[in-house]
Amino acid sequence: MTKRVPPRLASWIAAHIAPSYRRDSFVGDLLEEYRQGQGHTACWYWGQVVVALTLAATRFLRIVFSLSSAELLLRIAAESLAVTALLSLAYELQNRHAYGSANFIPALAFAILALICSGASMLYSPLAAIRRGGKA
Amino acid sequence: MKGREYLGQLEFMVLLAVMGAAGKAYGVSISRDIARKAGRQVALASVYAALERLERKGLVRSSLGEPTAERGGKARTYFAPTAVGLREARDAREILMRLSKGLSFWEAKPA
Repeated sequence: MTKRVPPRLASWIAAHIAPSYRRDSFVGDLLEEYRQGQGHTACWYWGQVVVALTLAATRFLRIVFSLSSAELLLRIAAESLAVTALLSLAYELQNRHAYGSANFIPALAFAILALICSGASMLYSPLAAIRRGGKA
Repeated sequence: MKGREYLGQLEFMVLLAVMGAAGKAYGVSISRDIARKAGRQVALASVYAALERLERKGLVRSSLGEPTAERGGKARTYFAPTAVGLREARDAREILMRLSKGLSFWEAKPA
Protein backbone atom coordinates (compact mmCIF):
# COMPACT_ATOMS: atom_id res chain seq x y z
CA MET A 1 0.00 0.00 0.00
CA THR A 2 1.37 3.39 -0.95
CA LYS A 3 1.61 6.10 1.67
CA ARG A 4 -0.46 9.21 1.09
CA VAL A 5 1.69 12.22 0.35
CA PRO A 6 0.38 15.57 1.61
CA PRO A 7 0.51 18.73 -0.54
CA ARG A 8 4.16 19.67 -0.90
CA LEU A 9 3.79 23.44 -0.47
CA ALA A 10 1.58 23.03 2.59
CA SER A 11 4.14 20.66 4.10
CA TRP A 12 6.93 23.16 3.48
CA ILE A 13 4.92 25.94 5.12
CA ALA A 14 4.14 23.73 8.13
CA ALA A 15 7.80 22.75 8.50
CA HIS A 16 9.15 26.29 8.22
CA ILE A 17 6.52 28.84 9.25
CA ALA A 18 4.31 27.09 11.82
CA PRO A 19 4.77 28.22 15.46
CA SER A 20 8.17 27.10 16.70
CA TYR A 21 6.88 25.32 19.81
CA ARG A 22 7.39 21.56 19.21
CA ARG A 23 7.23 22.20 15.47
CA ASP A 24 8.73 18.84 14.47
CA SER A 25 6.19 16.95 16.53
CA PHE A 26 3.40 19.10 15.11
CA VAL A 27 4.50 18.30 11.54
CA GLY A 28 4.72 14.59 12.41
CA ASP A 29 1.26 14.67 14.00
CA LEU A 30 -0.13 16.39 10.93
CA LEU A 31 1.32 13.69 8.67
CA GLU A 32 0.15 10.87 10.94
CA GLU A 33 -3.39 12.21 11.11
CA TYR A 34 -3.47 12.85 7.36
CA ARG A 35 -2.46 9.25 6.65
CA GLN A 36 -4.56 7.55 9.32
CA GLY A 37 -7.53 9.84 9.79
CA GLN A 38 -10.74 9.10 7.94
CA GLY A 39 -11.76 11.52 5.21
CA HIS A 40 -8.73 13.71 5.62
CA THR A 41 -8.19 15.23 2.19
CA ALA A 42 -5.61 17.67 0.87
CA CYS A 43 -8.14 20.38 1.69
CA TRP A 44 -8.16 19.26 5.34
CA TYR A 45 -4.36 19.36 5.36
CA TRP A 46 -4.33 22.88 3.93
CA GLY A 47 -6.91 23.95 6.52
CA GLN A 48 -4.68 22.72 9.34
CA VAL A 49 -1.68 24.55 7.87
CA VAL A 50 -3.67 27.77 7.46
CA VAL A 51 -4.65 27.64 11.15
CA ALA A 52 -0.96 27.13 12.08
CA LEU A 53 0.03 30.01 9.82
CA THR A 54 -2.61 32.28 11.34
CA LEU A 55 -1.41 31.46 14.86
CA ALA A 56 2.21 32.15 13.86
CA ALA A 57 1.27 35.47 12.22
CA THR A 58 -0.82 36.52 15.22
CA ARG A 59 2.05 35.78 17.56
CA PHE A 60 4.53 37.68 15.39
CA LEU A 61 2.25 40.73 15.15
CA ARG A 62 1.66 40.67 18.91
CA ILE A 63 5.42 40.75 19.46
CA VAL A 64 6.02 43.49 16.89
CA PHE A 65 3.29 45.70 18.33
CA SER A 66 4.49 45.22 21.89
CA LEU A 67 7.09 47.97 21.44
CA SER A 68 8.08 49.95 24.50
CA SER A 69 8.22 53.73 24.15
CA ALA A 70 12.05 53.68 24.09
CA GLU A 71 12.02 51.13 21.28
CA LEU A 72 9.44 53.20 19.43
CA LEU A 73 11.58 56.37 19.68
CA LEU A 74 14.64 54.43 18.50
CA ARG A 75 12.62 53.13 15.59
CA ILE A 76 11.35 56.58 14.57
CA ALA A 77 14.89 58.04 14.83
CA ALA A 78 16.35 55.26 12.70
CA GLU A 79 13.62 55.56 10.07
CA SER A 80 14.08 59.37 9.91
CA LEU A 81 17.81 58.92 9.53
CA ALA A 82 17.30 56.45 6.70
CA VAL A 83 14.92 58.75 4.83
CA THR A 84 17.28 61.74 5.24
CA ALA A 85 20.22 59.69 4.01
CA LEU A 86 18.36 58.43 0.96
CA LEU A 87 17.18 61.96 0.12
CA SER A 88 20.70 63.33 0.37
CA LEU A 89 21.98 60.51 -1.84
CA ALA A 90 19.24 61.22 -4.36
CA TYR A 91 20.17 64.92 -4.27
CA GLU A 92 23.80 64.06 -4.99
CA LEU A 93 22.82 61.90 -7.95
CA GLN A 94 20.34 64.47 -9.23
CA ASN A 95 23.01 67.15 -9.28
CA ARG A 96 25.21 64.87 -11.39
CA HIS A 97 28.19 64.88 -9.13
CA ALA A 98 30.74 62.40 -10.33
CA TYR A 99 30.71 59.11 -8.43
CA GLY A 100 34.11 59.92 -7.06
CA SER A 101 33.22 63.41 -5.91
CA ALA A 102 33.79 64.55 -2.37
CA ASN A 103 30.06 64.59 -1.52
CA PHE A 104 28.96 61.35 -3.12
CA ILE A 105 31.04 58.91 -1.06
CA PRO A 106 29.99 60.32 2.35
CA ALA A 107 26.35 60.45 1.20
CA LEU A 108 26.51 56.83 0.05
CA ALA A 109 28.18 55.74 3.32
CA PHE A 110 25.60 57.70 5.30
CA ALA A 111 22.76 56.04 3.40
CA ILE A 112 24.18 52.54 3.92
CA LEU A 113 24.76 53.20 7.62
CA ALA A 114 21.25 54.58 8.04
CA LEU A 115 19.71 51.59 6.29
CA ILE A 116 21.66 49.24 8.56
CA CYS A 117 20.46 51.20 11.62
CA SER A 118 16.90 51.11 10.32
CA GLY A 119 17.05 47.37 9.73
CA ALA A 120 18.64 46.78 13.11
CA SER A 121 15.94 48.80 14.86
CA MET A 122 13.25 46.79 13.09
CA LEU A 123 14.88 43.57 14.20
CA TYR A 124 15.69 44.76 17.69
CA SER A 125 12.15 45.08 18.99
CA PRO A 126 10.93 41.59 18.04
CA LEU A 127 14.20 40.07 19.24
CA ALA A 128 14.01 41.97 22.51
CA ALA A 129 10.42 40.82 22.96
CA ILE A 130 11.40 37.23 22.24
CA ARG A 131 14.21 37.49 24.80
CA ARG A 132 11.63 38.72 27.32
CA GLY A 133 9.66 35.54 26.66
CA GLY A 134 7.40 36.74 23.87
CA LYS A 135 5.23 38.82 26.18
CA ALA A 136 4.18 42.42 25.85
CA MET B 1 3.97 40.00 41.61
CA LYS B 2 2.46 38.13 38.74
CA GLY B 3 -1.21 37.24 39.23
CA ARG B 4 -2.63 33.78 38.94
CA GLU B 5 -3.32 32.74 35.36
CA TYR B 6 -6.65 30.98 34.92
CA LEU B 7 -7.42 28.18 32.50
CA GLY B 8 -9.16 28.99 29.24
CA GLN B 9 -11.83 26.62 27.96
CA LEU B 10 -9.61 24.99 25.34
CA GLU B 11 -6.75 24.75 27.82
CA PHE B 12 -9.07 23.02 30.30
CA MET B 13 -10.25 20.54 27.65
CA VAL B 14 -6.67 19.83 26.58
CA LEU B 15 -5.56 19.41 30.19
CA LEU B 16 -8.39 16.93 30.82
CA ALA B 17 -7.43 14.98 27.68
CA VAL B 18 -3.80 14.89 28.87
CA MET B 19 -4.94 13.66 32.30
CA GLY B 20 -6.96 10.87 30.72
CA ALA B 21 -4.12 9.47 28.64
CA ALA B 22 -1.80 8.33 31.46
CA GLY B 23 1.34 10.03 30.16
CA LYS B 24 0.80 8.92 26.56
CA ALA B 25 -1.02 12.01 25.34
CA TYR B 26 0.28 13.65 22.18
CA GLY B 27 -1.16 16.10 19.64
CA VAL B 28 -3.22 13.63 17.60
CA SER B 29 -4.57 11.69 20.59
CA ILE B 30 -5.60 14.90 22.35
CA SER B 31 -7.32 16.25 19.23
CA ARG B 32 -9.18 12.93 18.72
CA ASP B 33 -10.17 12.74 22.38
CA ILE B 34 -11.70 16.21 22.31
CA ALA B 35 -13.51 15.42 19.05
CA ARG B 36 -14.91 12.15 20.44
CA LYS B 37 -15.91 13.30 23.91
CA ALA B 38 -16.72 16.98 23.39
CA GLY B 39 -17.85 16.78 19.77
CA ARG B 40 -15.51 19.59 18.75
CA GLN B 41 -13.03 19.53 15.91
CA VAL B 42 -9.95 21.35 17.14
CA ALA B 43 -7.08 22.07 14.74
CA LEU B 44 -3.78 20.48 15.70
CA ALA B 45 -2.08 23.87 15.74
CA SER B 46 -4.63 25.10 18.29
CA VAL B 47 -3.99 22.03 20.44
CA TYR B 48 -0.25 22.77 20.35
CA ALA B 49 -0.86 26.44 21.18
CA ALA B 50 -2.89 25.37 24.23
CA LEU B 51 -0.19 22.84 25.20
CA GLU B 52 2.46 25.54 24.98
CA ARG B 53 0.48 27.78 27.35
CA LEU B 54 -0.12 24.87 29.73
CA GLU B 55 3.57 23.97 29.76
CA ARG B 56 4.56 27.60 30.32
CA LYS B 57 2.19 27.72 33.30
CA GLY B 58 3.77 24.54 34.64
CA LEU B 59 0.58 22.50 34.35
CA VAL B 60 1.94 19.85 31.97
CA ARG B 61 5.41 18.50 31.22
CA SER B 62 6.59 17.05 27.93
CA SER B 63 8.99 14.37 26.78
CA LEU B 64 10.15 13.37 23.33
CA GLY B 65 9.44 9.89 21.92
CA GLU B 66 11.17 8.02 19.14
CA PRO B 67 10.94 9.21 15.52
CA THR B 68 9.00 6.89 13.18
CA ALA B 69 8.89 6.54 9.39
CA GLU B 70 5.08 6.78 9.44
CA ARG B 71 5.45 10.31 10.75
CA GLY B 72 8.12 11.34 8.25
CA GLY B 73 10.90 10.73 10.76
CA LYS B 74 9.40 13.10 13.32
CA ALA B 75 9.14 12.11 16.97
CA ARG B 76 6.02 12.42 19.06
CA THR B 77 6.02 14.75 22.03
CA TYR B 78 4.22 13.14 24.94
CA PHE B 79 2.52 15.22 27.60
CA ALA B 80 1.71 14.41 31.21
CA PRO B 81 0.05 16.57 33.88
CA THR B 82 2.14 17.95 36.72
CA ALA B 83 0.97 18.02 40.35
CA VAL B 84 0.13 21.70 39.89
CA GLY B 85 -1.82 20.83 36.73
CA LEU B 86 -3.89 18.20 38.54
CA ARG B 87 -4.67 20.63 41.35
CA GLU B 88 -5.56 23.37 38.87
CA ALA B 89 -7.92 21.04 36.96
CA ARG B 90 -9.63 19.99 40.20
CA ASP B 91 -10.03 23.62 41.26
CA ALA B 92 -11.44 24.63 37.85
CA ARG B 93 -13.94 21.75 37.95
CA GLU B 94 -15.08 22.62 41.47
CA ILE B 95 -15.51 26.28 40.58
CA LEU B 96 -17.63 25.40 37.55
CA MET B 97 -19.77 23.01 39.59
CA ARG B 98 -20.27 25.56 42.39
CA LEU B 99 -21.20 28.27 39.90
CA SER B 100 -23.65 26.10 38.00
CA LYS B 101 -25.25 24.52 41.08
CA GLY B 102 -28.77 25.67 41.83
CA LEU B 103 -29.30 27.58 38.61
CA SER B 104 -32.90 27.27 37.52
CA PHE B 105 -31.68 27.25 33.93
CA TRP B 106 -30.81 23.54 34.18
CA GLU B 107 -34.34 22.57 35.15
CA ALA B 108 -35.90 24.48 32.25
CA LYS B 109 -36.70 22.28 29.28
CA PRO B 110 -35.13 23.29 25.96
CA ALA B 111 -37.56 24.93 23.55
